[in-house]
Amino acid sequence: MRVQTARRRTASAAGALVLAAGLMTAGGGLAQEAHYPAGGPKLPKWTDLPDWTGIWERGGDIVWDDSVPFKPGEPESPPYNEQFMKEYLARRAEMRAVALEGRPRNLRGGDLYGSMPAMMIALFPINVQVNPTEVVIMTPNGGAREIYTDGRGHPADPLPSTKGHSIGHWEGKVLVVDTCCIKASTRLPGGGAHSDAMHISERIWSPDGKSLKDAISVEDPKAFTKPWTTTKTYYRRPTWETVEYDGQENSRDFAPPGADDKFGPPEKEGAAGAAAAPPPAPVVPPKPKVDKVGKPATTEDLQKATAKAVGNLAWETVNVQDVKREGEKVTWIGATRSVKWRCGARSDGAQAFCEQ
Amino acid sequence: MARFRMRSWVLSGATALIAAALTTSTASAHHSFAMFDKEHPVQLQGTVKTWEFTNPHSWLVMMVMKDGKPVQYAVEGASVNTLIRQGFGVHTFAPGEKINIVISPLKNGGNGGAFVKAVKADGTILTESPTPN
Repeated sequence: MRVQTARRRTASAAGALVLAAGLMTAGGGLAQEAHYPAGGPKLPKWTDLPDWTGIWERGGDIVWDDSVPFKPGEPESPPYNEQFMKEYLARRAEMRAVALEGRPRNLRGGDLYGSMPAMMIALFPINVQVNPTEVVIMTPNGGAREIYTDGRGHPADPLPSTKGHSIGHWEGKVLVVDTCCIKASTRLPGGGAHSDAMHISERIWSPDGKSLKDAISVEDPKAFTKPWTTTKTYYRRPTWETVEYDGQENSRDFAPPGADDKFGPPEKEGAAGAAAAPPPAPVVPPKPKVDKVGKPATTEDLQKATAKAVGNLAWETVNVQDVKREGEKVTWIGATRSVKWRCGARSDGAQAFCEQ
Repeated sequence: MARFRMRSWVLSGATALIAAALTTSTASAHHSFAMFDKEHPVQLQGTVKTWEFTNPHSWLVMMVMKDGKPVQYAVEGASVNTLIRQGFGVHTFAPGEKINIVISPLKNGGNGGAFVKAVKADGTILTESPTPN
């Protein structure tokens, strides 16, 4: 048997061969190495790069396409072909049945939004860092996405991952991105599946220095009949810090019907007393609160009240309509591109509550 | 303690509430909020047992008097990332604290629901619209 030496061909050669033996490290396992069609890295200049550094909050709803009106109970699905659509509908029916029966749920809520393309919905605020080698987009719930801008190509023998492999280049201050190699087991917004042929193209730019836009096109020749596209917007939050998300830290869930009143995980070791023990008296008495009613809420106040009531939604995207002031209360419609929230609050905008 | 059905505390009039999954992607892939009855919020009075400011969900566990006996209720709230921007924190509720809360109850009749609003003994009101992420 011929022993082949390790060689790597550049991506421009069809059917590049990467042999396991050559990439084995001393401890075993393949090393993911960059390879450069130009022969080496080619970096943009720092001074040519836009300043996108910092935390950005989602400017839309938790949907793929904010321009599609939200239909309760009807998640958006990609333009699936017949086979994938059949599987998708069956899976949704199954998940709905689980929910209605109160059976244990999948509580790993952050996972979907830690994979591509769903992470660009920015369930939680994202942190963007730009340098000549790469643009890094960090999420609290799923780690970092790296978009290499140093001229490297996609791996010849890709290791599929939840975020895929992203390479980009700058066209002025616009980042053009190409992502391949996303694990076939990840889910799309809406909960549907995709194939190993999924490929994502993006253009990312900041129209005004305060907002960031990502025009995304997802193609999957094995699963879609046409590309699935959207444009997401994010708003800069200069004073915010990252808030960590550990989706495994509390697996408490409701008990199935018929169970006794013991909920959630067993008491931790060393915890004093059983669930039926009376709770201890509070150590610190609550501070008396003086809550004076402020000036009548302005439109911006109502935008912010809507965003706060909904949670993780940039107030700038709320369109306040149908404001009705009745003495102590104010009601209004807070419309985002896909949802019309019906909101009410105290006259100064405090204690806001919104429903769909 | 009396359990009574009430319409939305803020919105007056006969507006019908839409009972549905609360968001699109979250509903099917994370978990569905179809298990809660958003149309018929329920008010509970009781004592805080524990407040878990955690992910993927916060949990307010409280003891509510039902037919003279304390019954444990588990109320689910949103994630830390969402609640922290709405004024909630690690110390928002203390064990032993008396509170009034409003929940969207479990449709299956279990002792629990989704957090909607809490009124503390000192009058502080904390709300969370029932669309947690």
